[in-house]
Amino acid sequence: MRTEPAPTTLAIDIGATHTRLAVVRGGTIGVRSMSPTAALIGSDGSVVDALVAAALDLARDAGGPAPQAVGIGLAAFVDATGCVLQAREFGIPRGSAVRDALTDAFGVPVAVDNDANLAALAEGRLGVAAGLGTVAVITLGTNIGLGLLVEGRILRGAHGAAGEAGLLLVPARDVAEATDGQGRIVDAGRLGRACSSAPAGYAHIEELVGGGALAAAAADGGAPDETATRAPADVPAGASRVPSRVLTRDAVRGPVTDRLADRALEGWALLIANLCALLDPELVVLTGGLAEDAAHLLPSLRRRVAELAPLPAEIRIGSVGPDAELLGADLSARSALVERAVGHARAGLSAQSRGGDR
Amino acid sequence: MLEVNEFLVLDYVRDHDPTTRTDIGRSLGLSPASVSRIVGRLRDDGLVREEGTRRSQGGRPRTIVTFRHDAAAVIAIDLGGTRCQAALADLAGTVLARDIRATRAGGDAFSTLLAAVEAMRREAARLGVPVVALAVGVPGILDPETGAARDAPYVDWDDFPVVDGLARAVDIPFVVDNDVNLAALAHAWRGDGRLVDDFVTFSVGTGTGAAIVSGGRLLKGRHNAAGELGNLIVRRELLGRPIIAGLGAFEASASGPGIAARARELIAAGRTSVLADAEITPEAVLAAAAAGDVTALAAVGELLDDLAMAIVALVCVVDPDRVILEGGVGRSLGPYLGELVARIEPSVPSMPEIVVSHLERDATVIGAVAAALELARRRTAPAAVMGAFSLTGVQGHAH
Repeated sequence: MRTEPAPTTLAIDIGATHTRLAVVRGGTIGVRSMSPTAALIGSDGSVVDALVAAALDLARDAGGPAPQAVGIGLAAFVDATGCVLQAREFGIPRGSAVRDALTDAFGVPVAVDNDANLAALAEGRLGVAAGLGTVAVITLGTNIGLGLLVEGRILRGAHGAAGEAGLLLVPARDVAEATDGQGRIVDAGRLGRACSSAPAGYAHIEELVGGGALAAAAADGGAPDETATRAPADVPAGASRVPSRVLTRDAVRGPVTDRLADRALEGWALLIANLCALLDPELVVLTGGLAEDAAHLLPSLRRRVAELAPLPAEIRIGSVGPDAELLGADLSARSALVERAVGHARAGLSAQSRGGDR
Repeated sequence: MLEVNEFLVLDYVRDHDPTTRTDIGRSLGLSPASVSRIVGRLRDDGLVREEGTRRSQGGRPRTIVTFRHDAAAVIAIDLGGTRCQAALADLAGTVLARDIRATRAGGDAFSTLLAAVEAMRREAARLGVPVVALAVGVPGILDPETGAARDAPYVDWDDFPVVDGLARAVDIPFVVDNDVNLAALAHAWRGDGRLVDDFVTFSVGTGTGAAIVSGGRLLKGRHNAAGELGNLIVRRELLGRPIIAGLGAFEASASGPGIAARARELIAAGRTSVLADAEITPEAVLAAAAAGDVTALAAVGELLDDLAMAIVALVCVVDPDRVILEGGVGRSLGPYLGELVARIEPSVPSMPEIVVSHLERDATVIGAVAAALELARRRTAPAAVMGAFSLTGVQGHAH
């Protein structure tokens, strides 16, 4: 049997804060580039043109074999055909524009998927979730993402919107209108205060304990008893909205850090306990920059989840590391390559059988 | 044990009843000699019947092959908190006999279960059909390792070895599954989830639970506890308080007893209601609400708040196309669907259709018929083709 050479793919991860590109050969990341997503947004409000230019630049710089497939992860709902179902404010247009532009530029199969799904795929094939039944992979970055694996396959749902765990509702008392008129300031007790666009009386959990929310709280002094008046989105563009280092073991201990850690733990424990009630997973994986920063909080998190959930899942930090989305994009690009090959083989077979019928 | 091709032929006949030898051979790619041999063997085993002929256009007359759905029967049981419903069904799933008795009529729930099985076996003997499989739905979580039912307070079971107990008591293959899982199977088969790949069966009754079908497969989870929403933490009481397990237990509020308790609290707090002088049962609260009683409507409104929170969580995590409300309380919520949708829609990325089950009180027993038929079918399937089917629950063999 002829062995296929290890495929070369172009992997792209468009996040709310940063966009990363990498040429991946045989599953190993080679040359790569990164830019603030905001810097890619063109006059049309979309990242697509700059993204294609960056992708072509990187493929040229990499030399060697051209990419045989492109895999793209982005922070939006995506259907099974790679169409984005919801435009995002950081330059991701609705529809097939991202997929089509990369297809036109490279002339190879292009796979587009939700970034959390790709991180889950990477953990399921290459990391801590390999070989397990039901696994929930939570990405803790600016926002909160969730990829679900059932026996190694991504659970997509009916409209590609499965795993939007950041939108889970938490009861929260309305305190005031936000100063910029965008939503309301709400108080969710131990989960702190934040700006919310959820229905009155509630907040979405990522508005309270996503990385962006924690960063905003840190900027406000981290105090749940002081009125937060700024939406996370008000943090100046270009500045990291991840609470960089505030949750790390080395962070200066003090009331602000402790309050933020308590708020994050409480919110994440609530999210995980509810996932246990809904899905009864074998394993919950935490991945993303914030998860690695907060690894030392894991024992406290496990304790809290065990208090809240009668059948708690095991909780671990992902083992694939910060490149999980890129490696997942590579896996997804390679699947697209295989699917095309199978498609060609099928088309060939059916052409033969049509011939045979005549 | 049938060989692979016998199983395929039997399946084909079942799905294309009535059919012909020619169609079987053409569809399965078998030679006329093989089809003739296999159909002959199935006929001798009493599984198919050959009768009459059908003349194809200009061709030779063809023998009609039919599936003998009267060749055997299965028993299906829904062991509920208050009543135990049993059915005897033929291999096409047509119900031949039923039995309904109070769960505690035979003393404990397990004795009642055995009495119901016995009643159906007597019925089968009277009709002269052999019973080939049994499926039982129970209101609890089946431990996938031990086959014990946990968290089944409505039948007074906690870690009760139901699979072991049945294995001692019956001599036919059986499967035990969670009642809501079986209701979901019924909806996929003959109910409100037909041809829908992603749906949730959300049961609100004496207890609360859901079964999640995603991509055509029922999610099971590590402990067979996927969809056990009783432990969701969604209550407003959480606000500003340390979260303690049990405090926000969803099931305690979003259930029949929960709605009755809420009505009692409102009346104790001085609200007027037609319920004030009556015994406050879940049914009474729903009836009073339907008649416009403001206090009963307030209790229903709070139930809708809770259900909306749970459905938002389900939608954000598994993104179903449809949510089917099941259970005594769930099936009574038809008049409030608009209010429920209005509570959910602003908070979710994709709105599922929300419907009330049309299977009345039969969803679990119909699902048990489906599970028993699947079990009977798997028993006759060689290992090579078994992987294609998924059957949840915990199976048992006679000791």
